[in-house]
Amino acid sequence: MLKYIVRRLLLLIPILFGLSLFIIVFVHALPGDPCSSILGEHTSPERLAACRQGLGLDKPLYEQYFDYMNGLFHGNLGTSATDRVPVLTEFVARFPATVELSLAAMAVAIGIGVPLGIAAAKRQGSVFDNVATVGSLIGISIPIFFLGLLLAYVFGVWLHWLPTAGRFNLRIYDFSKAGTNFLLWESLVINRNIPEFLDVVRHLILPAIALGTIPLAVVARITRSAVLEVLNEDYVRTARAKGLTNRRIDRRHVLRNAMLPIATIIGLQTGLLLGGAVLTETIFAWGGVGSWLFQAAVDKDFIVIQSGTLILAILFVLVNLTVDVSYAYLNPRIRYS
Amino acid sequence: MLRLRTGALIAAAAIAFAACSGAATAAPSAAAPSQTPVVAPSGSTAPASVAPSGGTPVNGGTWIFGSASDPATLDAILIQDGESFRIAQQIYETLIKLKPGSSSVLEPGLAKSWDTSPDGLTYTFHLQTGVKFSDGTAFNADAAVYNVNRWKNLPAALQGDDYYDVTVFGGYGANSLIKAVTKIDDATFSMTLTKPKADFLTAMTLIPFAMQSPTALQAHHADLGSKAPTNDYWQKDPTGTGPFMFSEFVPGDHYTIVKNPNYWDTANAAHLDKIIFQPIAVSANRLTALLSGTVDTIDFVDATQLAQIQSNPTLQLITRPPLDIGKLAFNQTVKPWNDIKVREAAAYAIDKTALVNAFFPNGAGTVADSDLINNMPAYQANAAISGFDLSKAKSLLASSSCPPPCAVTFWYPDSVSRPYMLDPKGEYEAIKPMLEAAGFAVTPNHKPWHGGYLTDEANGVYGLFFIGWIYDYADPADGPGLFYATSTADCNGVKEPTPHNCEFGEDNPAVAAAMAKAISEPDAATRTADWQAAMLLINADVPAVPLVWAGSSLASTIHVHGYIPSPTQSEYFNLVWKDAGS
Repeated sequence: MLKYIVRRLLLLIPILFGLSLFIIVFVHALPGDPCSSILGEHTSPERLAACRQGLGLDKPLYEQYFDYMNGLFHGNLGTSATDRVPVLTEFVARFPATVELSLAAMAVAIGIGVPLGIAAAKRQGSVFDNVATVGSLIGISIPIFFLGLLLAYVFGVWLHWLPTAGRFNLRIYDFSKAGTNFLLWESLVINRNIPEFLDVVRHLILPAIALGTIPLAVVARITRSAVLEVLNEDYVRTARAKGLTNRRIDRRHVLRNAMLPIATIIGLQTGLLLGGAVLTETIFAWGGVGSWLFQAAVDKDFIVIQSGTLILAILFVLVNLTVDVSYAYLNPRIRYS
Repeated sequence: MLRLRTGALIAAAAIAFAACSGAATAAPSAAAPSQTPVVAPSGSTAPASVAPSGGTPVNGGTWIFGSASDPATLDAILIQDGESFRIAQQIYETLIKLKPGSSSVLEPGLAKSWDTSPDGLTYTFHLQTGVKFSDGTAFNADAAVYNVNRWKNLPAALQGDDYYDVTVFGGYGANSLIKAVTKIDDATFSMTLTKPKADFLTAMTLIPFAMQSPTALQAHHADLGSKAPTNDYWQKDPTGTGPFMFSEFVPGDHYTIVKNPNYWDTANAAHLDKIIFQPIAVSANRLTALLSGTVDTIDFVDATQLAQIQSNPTLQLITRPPLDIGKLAFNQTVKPWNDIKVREAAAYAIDKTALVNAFFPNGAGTVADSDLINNMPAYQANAAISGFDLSKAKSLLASSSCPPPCAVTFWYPDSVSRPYMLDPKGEYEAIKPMLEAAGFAVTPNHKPWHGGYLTDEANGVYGLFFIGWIYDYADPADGPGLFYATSTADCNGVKEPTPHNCEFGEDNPAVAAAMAKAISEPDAATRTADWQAAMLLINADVPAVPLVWAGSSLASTIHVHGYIPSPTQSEYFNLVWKDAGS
């Protein structure tokens, strides 16, 4: 197992090399550069040239790539052209917000999607199954920005039940002391303040639902088909013939065997959410990595896009490695060598 | 130009963007040595709408302000974006301030008075005494000299990031307009310039020229630039003399400032205990946050939201006087726009009233006829182009070098919404049939705003295109003085034998001479007349079709009082207060 993990981690090196090359070529192939964002209207060709020189954008692309990789090997991920903040500093500051939102969204997706998929599979062809199938199709199809704005308007403006922006009530609470930016952890474990914790949860609800809807639908569909497949296996029929209770069959035989595709899809979705919460973070003013990368893309802030994407790629690979490793636990027949 | 930080653009969600604005300058008086506050010619002095005073100010409370983005920096000399201006305006102070709500009337700031030498080269500032930075160190002539020297000899690591430093002072060291900075005594220092600059005093009201604590700058290694890991000055400890001081910054989440308990100007101490700036990039969600009570005030309200806000009794609309100009411009070096008859034909073909009514509803903009805003002293009605006249447009085009169908390419930007250009594609689609009715055959083309449009436009690639400007201060030097200036660079890679204008191809020597005279004229009245003369020449060349003068608006709950909007966004939050318990 250890050998397998080390080999997978070593594979990261060529993957990241290839990815860095692809990203830098792709980003520079886009029209424009950060100088137009920095200098705005009615600038002069001289100032544009000076800006490009200052950022090293006047060099050939291969030279820029080597400069960038040289920085990476020295632990320097670069500095934002527009905000002048080191990429790593900004990433570390924002990542906890994205982690909390992604985990909350996955909690919604798994907490509702898995039971829904199981129930639909066990009632195959019933009204419930059809409603769940159509519902998950709608969930996959609905645009996040539409759902987000709709949720904000209904629950924030009409009903006044839930907040629509930010991570906690800025009028009442203060998270500046511990400064971890993991607000659920801080409020519950460090501050031991239940009202504060509940306030953070209230702020999480709408963005988590908006972000979790698509994974929920995907997880429900995969769960349904995985469970259906297992339900038709011989060993399930045998277990039933042996007179085992439905509950025992579900837990010991059906779920355990259906978990592999479900775990795979959960891992993939979690990895995607870590870097893909762009719209949700933007709509709900959630200060995470997604909204930061989106702003960088708008501003053509090359360094932020390059380094931010690389960090997310590493995380994505690590999450999937964790999922692969979990297979051995879920199904002891799987052996890594 | 205060950089407008573009943010989330999510298709159908009526996304608005972040924003911009500027700061100030006005024609100073100068010729004779002047004592105490100089009052520049009154420009737009009256705010368009002021949050009602609501009675006696109440002290205390927390105000949550829904802004469009985080500040980009709070090292004052590097500031160029509107969100940074907004916060810096509260924690820093300049030697000279703009009167609240004005874009041109000067008031004492950290200098209680100033003198100008007869040759207009040396300015002597008499400083307020007993002033301390929020870190407890003294503000005096030493601190002022330190700051001015930092502008003049900006460390190499920071050079290029200082938009206003370069724009106002032109360069560094020997290339700077600042020749010398001299301490006279603890409360007096002087600045000597290499040549007269008529708008120098007003430029000194710009927040990038605020005074920062030398101790804090040095302690956080601010001069090492952003690449130095030890430089965390603006995120951890930006230190000024203002009525508020830094408290906390969580990127993407909030920026908090608190009342400065030791503020030197006790009569103008802050009413509020705390202000929290919460960045909400999407304009629709800023309004939702206001309606749901998450925030108290929001900025950059969409034109489409104005009616909803005006009809809501729990909200108030606060409108800034216009200081933005949107226009359809020509490059006279690109055919057929080298022919003035073709430019005139296009100018007469456009029904600006219909355009503004459609795209700037509810008073979000007014029909423009000049690069100058109609609240500026030098403004005068455009004598060259009287207005929409289709038959005149047709006859001009028929007699031009490009008779109908005159094929032209119309450039508009994607992925952007500016206060003066809310919907570029929509505006193009509205103007196209107007031009075609006059005999033009229009082919559209477009590029992303930051994806090549601005760069190509600056290099003179486009012949017919949308562009605009957000004035930093109400002075023509900050508008036509920049637009039509000549440059020594090559345009779009083409070798230029003499200084020229890349953007508009406006290379009329008479215009250049008239502008040069106006820019260096120290007497305010003469200067206004000079600019009027220059504008007559510029308008006669028809370098563009001015379309709209636009401002911007804030929305707030009715519990917020004392907000005085400024066209340049020089807004002082120490004047703001909230109803008790709100």
